[in-house]
Formats: sequence, C-alpha cells, structure tokens
Amino acid sequence: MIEKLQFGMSDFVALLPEIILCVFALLITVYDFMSKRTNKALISYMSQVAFFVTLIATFTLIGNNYTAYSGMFVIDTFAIFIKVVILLVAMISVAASHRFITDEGYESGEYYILIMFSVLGMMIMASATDLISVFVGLELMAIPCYFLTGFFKKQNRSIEGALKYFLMGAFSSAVLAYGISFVYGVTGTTNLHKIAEFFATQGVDINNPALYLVLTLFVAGFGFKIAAVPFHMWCPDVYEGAPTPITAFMSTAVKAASFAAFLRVYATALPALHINWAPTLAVLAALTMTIGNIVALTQSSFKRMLAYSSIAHAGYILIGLVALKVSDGVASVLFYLIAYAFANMGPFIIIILLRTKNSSGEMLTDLHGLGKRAPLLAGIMLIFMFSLTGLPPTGGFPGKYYLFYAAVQSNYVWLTVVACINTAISAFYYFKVGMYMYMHEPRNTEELEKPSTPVLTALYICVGMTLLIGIMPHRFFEAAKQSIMLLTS
Amino acid sequence: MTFVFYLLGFVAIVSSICVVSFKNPIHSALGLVAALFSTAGIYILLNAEFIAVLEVIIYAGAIMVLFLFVLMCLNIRELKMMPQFNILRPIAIVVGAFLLVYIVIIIIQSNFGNFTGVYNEAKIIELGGNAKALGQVLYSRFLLPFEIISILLLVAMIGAITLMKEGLRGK
Repeated sequence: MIEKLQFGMSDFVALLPEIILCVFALLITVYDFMSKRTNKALISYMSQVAFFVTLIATFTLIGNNYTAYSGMFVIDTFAIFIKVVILLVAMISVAASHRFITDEGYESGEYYILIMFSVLGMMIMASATDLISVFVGLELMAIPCYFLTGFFKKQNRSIEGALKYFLMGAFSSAVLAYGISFVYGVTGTTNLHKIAEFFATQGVDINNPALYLVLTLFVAGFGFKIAAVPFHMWCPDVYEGAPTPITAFMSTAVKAASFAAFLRVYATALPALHINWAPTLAVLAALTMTIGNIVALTQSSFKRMLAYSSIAHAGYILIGLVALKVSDGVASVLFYLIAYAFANMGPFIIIILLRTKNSSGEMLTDLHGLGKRAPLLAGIMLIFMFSLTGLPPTGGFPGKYYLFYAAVQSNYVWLTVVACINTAISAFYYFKVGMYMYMHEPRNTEELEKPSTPVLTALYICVGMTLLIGIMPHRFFEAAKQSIMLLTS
Repeated sequence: MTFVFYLLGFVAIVSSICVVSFKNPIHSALGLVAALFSTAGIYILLNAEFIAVLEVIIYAGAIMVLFLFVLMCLNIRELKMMPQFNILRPIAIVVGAFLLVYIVIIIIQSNFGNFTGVYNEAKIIELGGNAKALGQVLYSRFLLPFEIISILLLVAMIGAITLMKEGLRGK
C-alpha cells in the first residue's frame, strides 16, 4: 500500500485565504522587480488590497470546521478569529508605513512583500494542528521579521536589533525543534490531536522526565516569541531598532500569532499535563509582568518604554493560559489580544506622526507639551494610555477584568494580586506620559508635518476600536467565546 | 554497530566543540565539515542512506564551500572576542553546564516509546528505496509543510537581496 496524496476541494478551500495572500505576494514581488521606481508607491496600496481580499476570504470560511492536509491544518473559528486580528493589524501597519520608508531613503517594495509573507506565516500558525506545521509557520513568520527589523541598514541600531533578533530567534527555534523531537520520542506523533489521544489512552506517566524536558523546551521556545521573562532580552533592542511601523506590527501581530500557536498546542495537545505546566506558567506570568513594568518605569525613550510595556502585557496574557481549564480562560486571552492590539499600535502611530526634521519623536521629551502642540494627538494618546493601564471606558479595562476573573476562578488568587499590583505600577509610567503632554512646556517647538491620510485613518481605526471594545465588551467577548468552543474537544 | 555509533558520536561532539572554540574561522569551518560527516555516518547507521547523502552533498558540500569562499574573500584571519560577550561568559558557562547536566540526566532516565511507523524495512524495500519512500511521505502527508518551506526559502532570498542592495539615494 502506498501513501496517496489526499488533496481535494476541501483542502483547497481550507487554505484559500493563505493561497490568495501568497499569490498576491508573489505577483507583487514580480511587479516590484519589473516596475520603474516611480511606480513603486503603488505597492503599498496593492498589499492593502491583498490583505482586504484575504480578509474577505477568511470571513467566508466562518462556520467551517474541519482538518485538512492529513491533519496538518485546521479551519475553525479560533483560527479565523486570530487571522482576522492579524490581518487587521497588518493593514493598520501598512497604512502607518505610508511614505515612512521612502522618507528615510529606502526602497519600499520588499518592505511590503516581507510583511505579506510574515502574515502568511502567522495565518498558518493560527491554523496549524501539527507541531511540524506550527514550526514551519513560525519560521515563515519570524524570518521576514528579522529582515524587516534590519531594514534601515544604514542605522546601527536597526542592524544591531536585527542581528540580535536573528541569533536569538534561530537559537529559540532550535530549542523548540528539540522539544518537538522529544514529543515525538514519547508519543510517536506530532499531530496535536493524536498527542492528546496518546495521553488520554496511555495515561500521563509522571515518572517520565522527558515530559518535563518537553515542557521546559516548549516554554523556552514559545516564551521567546512572546517575549516572556527570562526570554525577553532581545525585545527592547529589537523594538527600539526596528522601523516604528514594524515595531507596532511585531509587538501585536507576532504576539497574537505566537499566543495562538502557544494556546493551541497547550489546549489541544497537552491539557492532560495542565497540573505540571500551569504553576510554571503562573510564575513566568508574574515575573514577566513585574520585570516588564518595573524596568519600563526607568526608560527615557518612549519607544523603549512601550517595548517593556509590551513585555508586561505578555505577562497579563499568560494568566489566561494558566487559567486554561476555566470556561472563559481562553476567551479572555483572545479578548485581551484584540483590546491590546489596537491600544498598543496607536502610540507607535503617534510616534510616527511626531517625527520632525530634528527629532525622531521617540523620546519621552518629544511628548513634552504635546497638549499645546497638537491637542488632538495628545487626547488620542491619552485614550491609548488609559487602555494600556486598564481604565474604563477603553478596551483595556474589560480585557484585564476577564483575565483576572479567570485567574480567580482557577484558584490563582496570588497571581491576580500580583497582576493588580502590576496594574498600579504600570499606571505610574502611563500617566507620566499624560503629565508630560499636559503639564510641561514644549521643548521642541517645530511645527509638526501635516499627517497623511492613510496614517491618520490607521490612527482613527485604532482609537475607534479601543473605545468600541471598551463601550461594548460583551459583543467582542461573545465572539471570542464562540470561537473557542471547539478548541479543546 | 554500537561501537561505530559511539565513535561517530564522539567525533561529532569533539568537532562541534572545535567549531565554536577555534579562533581561526577556516579551522572552525573544517571542524564543521567533520561534524557533518560524522552525523551523516549516524544517519547511515539508522538505515537513512538518502538523508546521509543529502547531508554530505548539501551541507558538507555546497554550504561549506560557500562558507569557505566568503571567509577567503573577507580574508578573516582571527576573530577577536567581543567585550560584551566576555562579561557574560562565566554566567553562560554555568547556565550551559547546568542545562547540559539536566538534559543528559533526563535523557538517561526517560523511557521513550518503541514505535514502528508505517515505513519499516520491508516496506521501504517494497517501495524501492529510501528516496522513494521519503518522496512519498513528503508529497502526501507532509505536503503542506513542504510547500511552506519552499515559500520560506523564497522569502529568505528576497530578504538577503534586500539587505544587500542599495537604497533610493544611492550611497
């Protein structure tokens, strides 16, 4: 008997959004190569069209629920939810990059192409139900990000960030691959459902230390991608060195995709080992929040402060993984991911708008007196800071509420207390931003450039979504809840 | 057989240590060749001749030649240790040694399942060799990852070109 290629219409349909995005990306690559320099500004709009068509294709798949490609790939509401978040974030990043790359003196064609391929990898990660496809999806996501970080190759810090990201990323991928090899050694399969089946039928042999090694290596591998302490060392340098729209992209989309894969692996394949990994993740979550927030207090660069704040937010989201067994645990992670995505992209877009001839707009001192220089931007910034702190009426408040509630339900009261203390600490530096904007005199009195329409649209979408999620969180939470129904079955 | 395995394993470990500890990059590259050859030998012991051949042709052959070309073009004689790595060195050695002991202890004490997949020896002979069996798995069960890897290679190429070419305003 020969293993036959099983490829039918259903396989094709399941992968349709990815195929569309891939074809667009390849066509744009050819266009970039053939076109004249003056026509290259179009590529930004072409990639928006590609993301939009992919988004529509993703929406048409709602309601489908089956695995394809011999169990490598699944199309379910969880995957669709994550893909929609990733595509929206990608569209906002592309809009925010308008003229940014050419202004700095670089050709922008490959920039958009690399973003598209990175998004392709993220979409595969969101749907992967086999450790092999998780791994290749992860690499397809990460490798364009290494290049994008170093895109400003005449800036030392961009190159430095890219090199650090690349070396550490390659190392963490090796760690993850090593972990996968041990899973195969113990269970004889890499399929997530079959791994769960193995543990369900054979029972969990707690005397088998290989399982602990697997958990250690997986936490290190995924922990690197989500920048959890103590695997976060690369994060501030990379986020500071990368072009600002890419920092916004990486701190939201890469995190969302990594959390999706992290969640799916742990919720689908390893729920039987929950007792063994939950305490480790709880300690990791507490460490991540605390170190992220405390170091953020001392930063003088706004971009670097946001990098540490995004580390802290990864800590909050990890709480949801600890509380996986509670009915709303996973849903609270998804909810927090969307609330965080929009609130976290916003400040980066404002950094882009604050660029002037003599300043990069990245330092906290650039925010001095923003309330007088640009009242609208300052007001919007304040909303983002409210959301990141977790204050109503913004998306951050219900996000934190659902996460903390899930932690209490799963008897991790100490973790909730740590998270609440951390929220208080984070309020210090988020409010510091507000203080600088309204209570200090402007240091830099240069006139701000008139913002271009795509960048402004991106900013308004971010602020609109942040408020919308805060005003009617139930709608979004219901959507998140419905999307996880079938994750663990 | 066991003796050959241990010999190859020993050579692989020693030459890998050489790769990271030699100061002259050419010597490191040659150490890598030795490591790759001994790994290929281990693949042969596992009856995976096709992968062994690939390892030798692609890694020990093509990629190493590229490495050596680049090293010779750049004419690097000796690499100096960067100061920021020197500070972390004692900590790195302690953490690395701890991890090594941890992993070795765990591997010795663990029990791994004794699995026989679909592709046992008889099956591979029936199919007509390793290469055919591998091809069949790649184009059926692992079709999706296989295709993704092809895109991955394209992306790596686009990225490498992006890093090398000049910007809008020339130099």
